Amino acid sequence: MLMACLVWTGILYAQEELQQEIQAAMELQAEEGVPVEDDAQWQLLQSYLKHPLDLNRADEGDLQAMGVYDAVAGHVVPAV
Amino acid sequence: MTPLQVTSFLQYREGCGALRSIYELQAVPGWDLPLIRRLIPYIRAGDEGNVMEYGRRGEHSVLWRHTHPPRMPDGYEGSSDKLMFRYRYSLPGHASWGVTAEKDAGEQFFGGAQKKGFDFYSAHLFAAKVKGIYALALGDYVVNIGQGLIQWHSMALGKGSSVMQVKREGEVLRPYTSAGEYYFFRGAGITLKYKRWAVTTFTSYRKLDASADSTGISALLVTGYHRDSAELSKRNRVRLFTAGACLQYHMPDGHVGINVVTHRLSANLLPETTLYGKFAMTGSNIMNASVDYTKGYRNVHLFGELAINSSGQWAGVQGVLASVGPQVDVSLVYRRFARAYTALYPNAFAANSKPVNESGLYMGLSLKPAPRWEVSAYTDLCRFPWLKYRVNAPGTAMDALVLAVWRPSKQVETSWRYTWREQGLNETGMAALPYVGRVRTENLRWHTEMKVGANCTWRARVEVNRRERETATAHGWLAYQECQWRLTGTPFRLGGRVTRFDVQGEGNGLYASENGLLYDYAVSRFSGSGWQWYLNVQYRLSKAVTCWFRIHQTSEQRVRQPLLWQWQVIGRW
Repeated sequence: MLMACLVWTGILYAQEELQQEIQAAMELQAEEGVPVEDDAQWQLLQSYLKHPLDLNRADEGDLQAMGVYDAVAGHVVPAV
Repeated sequence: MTPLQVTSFLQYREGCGALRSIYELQAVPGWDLPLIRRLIPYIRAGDEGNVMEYGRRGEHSVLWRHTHPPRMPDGYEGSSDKLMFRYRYSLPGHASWGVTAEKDAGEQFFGGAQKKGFDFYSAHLFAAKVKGIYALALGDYVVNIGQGLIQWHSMALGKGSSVMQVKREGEVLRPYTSAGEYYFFRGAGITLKYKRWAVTTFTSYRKLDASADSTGISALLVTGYHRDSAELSKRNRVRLFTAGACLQYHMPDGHVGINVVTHRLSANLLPETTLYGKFAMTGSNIMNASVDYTKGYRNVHLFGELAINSSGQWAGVQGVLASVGPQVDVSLVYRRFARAYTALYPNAFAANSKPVNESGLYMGLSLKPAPRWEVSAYTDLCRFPWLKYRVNAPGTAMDALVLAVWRPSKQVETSWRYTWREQGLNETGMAALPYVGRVRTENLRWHTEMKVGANCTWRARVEVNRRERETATAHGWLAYQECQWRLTGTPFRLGGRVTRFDVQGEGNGLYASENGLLYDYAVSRFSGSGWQWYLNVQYRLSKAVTCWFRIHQTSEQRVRQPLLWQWQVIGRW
C-alpha cells in the first residue's frame, strides 16, 4: 500500500513537472513565432499516459520520440 | 530525454538485459531522479504484458471543441465560433487512423462557400513495424528528415531552456492528426527496413492557398483562413506535387543517410520585390538534397546535415552533445546557411525562422552543481551576411540564457531565468535616412511552484523586461498567481489564474502559456497595461467521457474585453 501511494504521488508530481518544462518550451516557441497548431505530441503523451511505453520493447525511434515530446510537447497533460 | 540519455539507455539494456523494474533506471548512466520522475507516467518496465494486454493498448477517441472568441472583426462571412472535430484510433507505435475537421472563426459552416460543412478535412491511415514495412502512411502524413535543412514538418525546439535539446530527431514518416492546414503532405509514403538499411519514399499531391495571378505566385499562404471573399479567392490556387526519398544505413549508435526532396508547383513563384527578399525562392521546381548522420561514441554524440538546393546553394549544421563529467553536459551547434539557400518545408536549428542567410555558433551548458540544483545556460553568436526583414544591412546578433532551478523538496520548485538578446533593427530617429540600430532585450523571470497537499498546486511568477533601442527604452512586467485544484471525492478539477501586466513600448511583449483545454495551445502575449484571468473546469462524466469548460478575459487600459469561452468533450474507449 505504501509503495502504491509513493508511485501515485510520484506520478502526480511528475506530471506537474513535465507541465512546467513544456510550458517553458512553448513560451519560447511563441516568442520565436513558431506555429503551434501541431498537437501530435500531446496525443502521443496522452496515449502513453494510458498505455505506458514498454522500455524493454522500445526501439531507438520510440525513445527519440519520447525525448522530443518530453521537451517540446503540449503545455498541459491533465490526467483524464 | 537527450540523445545522450537515449544512447546510454540502449547501451545499458544491451549490456544488462531487460529491465526488471522501473527503479532500475537509476542505474542507467546519465539518468537522474528528476528525469525518471518526469517520465514515470509514460513508461513501464519489468511487467511484461501478454498478447491480450497488448491488443488492448489501442484506443478510439473522439474530440469535439467549440471556441467562442471575444471579438470578431466585421466583414467575415461566417460565425465567430471555431469548431474542431477529431476521431482517431491509435495503437502507439503500430497503427493509427482517423479524421480531423476544423472550422476557423469567421469561416462559414454548412453554407456559402462551405457547403460540405467544415473548412478543413484531413484523414490518415498509418501502420508501422509490420514485418519488413517499418512505416506505411496513406492520406495525410508528415515527413521529417535529418536536421531539418530540407524537410521538417513537425514541431521542433529552437533555442530555449532545454539546452541539450538542440538536435532534430524522430521517425521520418508520421501520421498527420492536427488541424493546421499547411505543414503536411497528402498522398503516400513507405519506409522499408532490411537488416541495417532503411529506405523511405513518399509522394504527395495537394493544393495550397496562394496570392497568385496570371504571371505567377507572389506568396504561399500558411494560415488556412477562408473567412471572406478575398481569402476565399486565394484558396487552393496552386497545386503542389512532391516526391522524395531517404536511404539510411544504421550502425550501432548512429546512422548515415542520403535524402532528396523535390517539389513542383503549378505556377512560378515570382521574385520578391524587396531587397531583403532578393534571394528568395523563385520558379516552379524546388529541389533539395542532403546527407545527414548521427553517431554516438561513449559520452559524445555527434550529428549533422549538409544540404544543397537546385541552384547550388549550401546549408550545413554540425552539432556535438557531450557529457564531460557526471554532472556536466555541453552542447555545441555550428550552422552556416547561404543567403540564397532555399527549401519549401525546412525547420532547422537556427536564429531565423528558416535556415537561410545565417552563420552561427551555439554553446550550451547543463550543470548539476548540487543535489537540488540545476543550472542551464547557452550563448549564441550569429551573423547574417544579407539583409533581413526590418534589418536593411548585413549584421550580427547575440543572445544568451541562464536558468537556475532549485528543488528544495518534492513539493517546491523555484527557478530564475535571465535572457539577453541583441540584434539589429531599422531605425529612423532624427536621421534623414533609415539606418540599422541595435535593440537589446533583457528578461528576468522568477517562477515558483508548490504542491499543497495531494490535490492542490500553486504557482506564481514575476517577470520583468527591458527593451532598449537607440530611439527609446521600454520596460515591462507581469505577475501572476495560479491554482490547480483536484476536488477530492468528486469528478471535478478546477484551475485558474490571475495576471497583472504592464508592458510598455512598441514591439515590446511578454509571453506566458496557460493551462488550457487538453490538446489546445494557449499562449498569451501581454502588451499594454491591464489584467487577465481565466477559469478552467474539468468534469469527468464517466470513465470514457471527460468535459472541459473554460472562460478567459483580458482587460487592457481599463477596457474590459468580452469573454472568451470554450468547451470540449473527449470520449475514449
